Amino acid sequence: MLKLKNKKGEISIIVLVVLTLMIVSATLFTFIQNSEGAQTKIYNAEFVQGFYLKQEYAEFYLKQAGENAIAKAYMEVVNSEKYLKSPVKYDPNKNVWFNSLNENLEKLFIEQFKENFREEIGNYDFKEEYLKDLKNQISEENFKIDYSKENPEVLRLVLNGLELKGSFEEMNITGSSGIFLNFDFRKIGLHSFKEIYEAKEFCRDIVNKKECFEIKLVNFEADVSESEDKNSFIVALTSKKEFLIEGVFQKISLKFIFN
Amino acid sequence: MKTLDKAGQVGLTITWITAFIVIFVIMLIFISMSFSLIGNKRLSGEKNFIEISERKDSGALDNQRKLFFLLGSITESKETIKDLIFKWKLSDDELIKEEVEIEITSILENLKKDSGCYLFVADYDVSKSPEEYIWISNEINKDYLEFVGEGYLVFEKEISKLDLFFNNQEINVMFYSGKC
Repeated sequence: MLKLKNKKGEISIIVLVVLTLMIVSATLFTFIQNSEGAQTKIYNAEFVQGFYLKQEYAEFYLKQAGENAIAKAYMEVVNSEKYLKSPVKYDPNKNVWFNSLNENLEKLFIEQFKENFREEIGNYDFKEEYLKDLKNQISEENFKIDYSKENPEVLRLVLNGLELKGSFEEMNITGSSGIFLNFDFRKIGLHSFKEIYEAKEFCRDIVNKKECFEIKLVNFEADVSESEDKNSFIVALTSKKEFLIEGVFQKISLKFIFN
Repeated sequence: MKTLDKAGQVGLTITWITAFIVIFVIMLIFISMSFSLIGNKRLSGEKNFIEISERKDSGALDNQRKLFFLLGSITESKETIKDLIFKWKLSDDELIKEEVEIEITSILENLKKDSGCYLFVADYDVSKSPEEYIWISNEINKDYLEFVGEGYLVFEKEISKLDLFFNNQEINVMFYSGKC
């Protein structure tokens, strides 16, 4: 009877001790596990540097190709006289009359730009994968280009979805980059055809027309002379800057007659 | 019967005391281990702190931005440095090369500010034609570049490299500006 009582007492005590040991062990195990996870490095902004480096390279090349494409498109539109409203008329000396702008000029210029832009980027012999990807995106025309609504002197290019990969120590960063570029005709060294038209209208009644054109169109040198019949003026505008077009540095010139 | 009960109570008490000692030791171990683990995660105090790099610029990115700025800078002849380099390579004119050197030196002297040095190299292939390329440097430290053999250069990683494309050709440009 006595032995039985003692055994019952011992079992309950042993169960208590074992349970206590289990709870303590489980708690300590959880603590150790969590303390491993808490040892995290804190990085400064340096870790995204590789990502930005690539994005800025891509922007640099797009800007260079875009500026060259604009200069080439500008020259093509000038030489083909497509900036003028049809039908185009000439005076007896083959000077073209500048009365109005072509209504479809913006659309036409953008189409010309796109063609030149694809060709220009296509000539860049990139070695890096992300730049080859950029080249493919341009050749597949995965970009948007349009005139800025706020400023008609600016063409705005948007390219989305360029995948860039960067790394810093043991971390790899992958992201999709959006590139937004503005091409300002004035900063490139030109003026939009709309601005040339407005300058012509403004200078019509000004006595010193050469000075007027050169003030309104600072990127051009102007030469203004009277026509033989003394009723109209012949204007020759030549860009101050030379542009690399078809492998040659050349100035862009346009000549027209107006009254 | 009472004697037997008393003897049983004494035995039971001894067992409880033993159990108490065992549980007490377990608790002591638990508390001490918990404190040791907490100690590793404490962020306040002098033992643990976050270190921020003393470097003021962001290395390669900073150099790259300076290079883009340099290539887009307008010279006295109203042309960009980049266009002047193209003109030089198209014409092979030594006068244009000199103009590029003067313009770049002038810009870099302003960029370096209080201390530092700079390096600018440009040619079709800078590792192969050392006699011809534009080479501008201002007391560049040997740690940043290494001459291997005659005219062959190895650059440190913070030096920015860029290929300029024109007429289906490319010009290698290398640039560094900062502490030496």
